[in-house]
Amino acid sequence: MEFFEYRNVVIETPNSAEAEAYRKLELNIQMMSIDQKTQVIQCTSATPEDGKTTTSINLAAVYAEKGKKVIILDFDMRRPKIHRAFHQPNDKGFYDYITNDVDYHELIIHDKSGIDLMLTGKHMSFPHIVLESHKTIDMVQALRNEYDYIIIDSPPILSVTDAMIISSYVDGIIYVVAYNKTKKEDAKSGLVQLQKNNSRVLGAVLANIDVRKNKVYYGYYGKYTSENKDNI
Amino acid sequence: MVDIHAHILPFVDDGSSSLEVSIELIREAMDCGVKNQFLTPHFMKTRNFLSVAEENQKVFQSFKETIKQRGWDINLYLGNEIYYSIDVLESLRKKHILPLGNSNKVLIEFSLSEMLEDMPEAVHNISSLGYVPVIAHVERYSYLNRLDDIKILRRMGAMIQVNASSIVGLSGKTQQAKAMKMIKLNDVDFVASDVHASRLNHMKQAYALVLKKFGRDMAERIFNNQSVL
Repeated sequence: MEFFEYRNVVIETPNSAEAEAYRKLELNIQMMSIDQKTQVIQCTSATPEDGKTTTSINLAAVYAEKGKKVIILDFDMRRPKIHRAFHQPNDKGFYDYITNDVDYHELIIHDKSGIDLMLTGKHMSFPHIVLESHKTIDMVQALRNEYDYIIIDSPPILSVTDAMIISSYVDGIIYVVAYNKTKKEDAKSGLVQLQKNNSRVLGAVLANIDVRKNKVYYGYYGKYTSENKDNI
Repeated sequence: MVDIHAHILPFVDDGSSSLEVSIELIREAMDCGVKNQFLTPHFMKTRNFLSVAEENQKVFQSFKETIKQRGWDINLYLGNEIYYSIDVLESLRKKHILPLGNSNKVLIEFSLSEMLEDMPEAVHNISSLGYVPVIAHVERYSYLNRLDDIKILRRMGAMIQVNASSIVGLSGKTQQAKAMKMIKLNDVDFVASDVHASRLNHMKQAYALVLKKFGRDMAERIFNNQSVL
């Protein structure tokens, strides 16, 4: 058992250096979207607990702060965490859309933060089959007409195939690497898998940095494209 | 004393199948020094204990009246011992199952032998509905042996209940040692009887043991925790 809690610094400490780093992340995504629309964004990493969920919730908070309509889809059905980050019960959600044909609008939580959420709901077997189903893809497509931004919190790449499946219907991927935690070889091999899949990796977030110890380098968002893959 | 966990309410679970037995269980509780007695029938799908709040309320009001007529000095409150599954969240929303008395505390239990549910998830889910989960007889879960895990559950907002019978050693030395260690580490919020007609009430014995080993402050804190009233 492990105690963990998520901090949404953009909401809790909006004037902090950490919050500013997430605003830079949003700006960089915007810059990369001049010629190619980036509306559906997947947050993933090579290994578990590298900071995907923290990145998802803080990026969503930046969009909400800018008055954009944003939703987070928790597509990590094996270890869902978005409900924890927003202090919501997780008994209703995507499960009901998939198995009970509930209208997905009824399952969306309008959180007080201004961010909408689609939680996983009850446990589902065979998430990879669910994630590549027409029903899932249809919902994501429909949400494109309803939201400015859709952020998908997904499982790590090296653990299961789910993240690769999700990457096929998103506009871009943010690849999260945890400072002093993610192994270099793991970070590389996760990235290689995404490339082989022809996924559009927008860049990498170096998470887990103590800004007080790393004043110059705080909350760094590193641009990554297929041309400079060796920089990671 | 405050006893937050007892199967005394007649006819609704495996606690007591007659009014006379239930009255006797109340008398025993009073003999132990209990002044505030919670009646917490099981809500447990797997064993078909599905008596809902509306039905329990009727039995409770009638039982309370019976005790009142005897002029006994004991306060009775209704609650449930809820066997956790994800579905109980909806039952709590619909008020088919009850928190402890007028408090926002909810008594929950899990499988004793194998971890069928993720306990931290359960604590999170119940907390996020605005309730404080009180985990029943924590010392009895065979898979919950790391005392650090108890601290994590408390940090997440759970409260911890241990059984009086475990403190006096009736559930074996392992459970007794675990319960005592938790008390020593300040990780117990309530000691309760979990009494059924088939089990004796050990609150008095357990109180004496805790008093002797840890002093009056500790004994009062965990046997007479008024935060639930």
